[in-house]
Amino acid sequence: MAGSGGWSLAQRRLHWWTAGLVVLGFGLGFGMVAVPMRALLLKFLLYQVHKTIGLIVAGLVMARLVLRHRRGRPAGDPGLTLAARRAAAVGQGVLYVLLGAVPLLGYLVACVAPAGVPTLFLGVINVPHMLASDAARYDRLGAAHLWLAILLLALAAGHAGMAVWHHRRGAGTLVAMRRGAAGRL
Amino acid sequence: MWGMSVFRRFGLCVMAVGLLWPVTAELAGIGRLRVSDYKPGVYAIDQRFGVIGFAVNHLGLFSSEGGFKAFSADLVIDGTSLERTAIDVRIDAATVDMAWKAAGEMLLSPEYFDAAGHPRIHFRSTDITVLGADRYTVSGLLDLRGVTQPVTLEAVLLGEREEPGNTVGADFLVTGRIDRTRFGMVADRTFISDEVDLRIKVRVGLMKAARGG
Repeated sequence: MAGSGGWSLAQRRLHWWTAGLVVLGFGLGFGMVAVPMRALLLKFLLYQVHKTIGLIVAGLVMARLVLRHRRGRPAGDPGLTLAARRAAAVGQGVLYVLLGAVPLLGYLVACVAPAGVPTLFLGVINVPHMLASDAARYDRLGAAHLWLAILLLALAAGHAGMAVWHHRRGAGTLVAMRRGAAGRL
Repeated sequence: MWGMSVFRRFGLCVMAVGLLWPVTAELAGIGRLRVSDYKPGVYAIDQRFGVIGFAVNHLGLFSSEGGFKAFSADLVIDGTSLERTAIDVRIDAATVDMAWKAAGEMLLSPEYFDAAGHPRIHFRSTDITVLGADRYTVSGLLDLRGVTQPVTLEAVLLGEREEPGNTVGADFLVTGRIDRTRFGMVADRTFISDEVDLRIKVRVGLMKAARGG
């Protein structure tokens, strides 16, 4: 659904919170794995922060989809070719799929992890694990979680790069997402 | 006394049976391992049916479990009384294992089991006390990381079953708790509890003593 107005304040905030948390969660993911076993408490805390970020991102994505369904999105940039608009739409669709799939896979990895470490949302709320520990599944799901996260970050970087590129050519897309001006895509 | 309610009398009966159970069970020989039924000698504990496991707690939130893949143990039966039975267990420290492989490798390090410096963990009993039907206290000395400390374990005879070759397979569950810091294992105390719960399951094949000979 294409609306005539710009992005709402809620949509813009959800967009930037999602972007920031994805980058933070990605960095933490590598950091927590790199922490040596000698620093078990730090490793445990970083894993819990990473898991919490993943759960928050999943919630933000759901909220974004609900808002997008109810409020729609600004009309596309008329300066773009049809092929470019379609490519942008496909890219955003894949981004949404990855934003949902990566946290979901992360949750499943936590479920089947041989270590059996609980998932504590915000450090206090124990999120039930729906699957039992399974080393073989852990390896497969862990690899899928990692590679889809890398793909997500690469696509997000491409998405950001295109936004900047269009911004330099005078398009209002980036400004619309930052300040809420009537946006064109 | 006779004016008591039925419930109170029932409760007293249950209490009396509970308190006297070890005595009555011993007199009746219920479920009690009688060493005189078996040939005196040294019995090797069958590792194939044995598990030596341990568990530690983390921040009071969850626990981790591990175990040892290789150990050997002997049960020495005197033939006159259970109290004179001796147990000797040797564990290969390098076989420590956890579901989380990285944690298992960490436990090999000098901060934990120091498998390179102290490849063998050794327990030898010094005293066995009969607590009641099928329950025993096993006191002994545990040598871990080159430090020897007294420990007390509780053993329960889970069952005995007839096996080929005039033998009886006796299954025991041994549990206990040790403080790892007493053995100099003080790494990561903020995250790993000092207390380590032990859970050991073993099966001993006991040769029946000849009767009426």
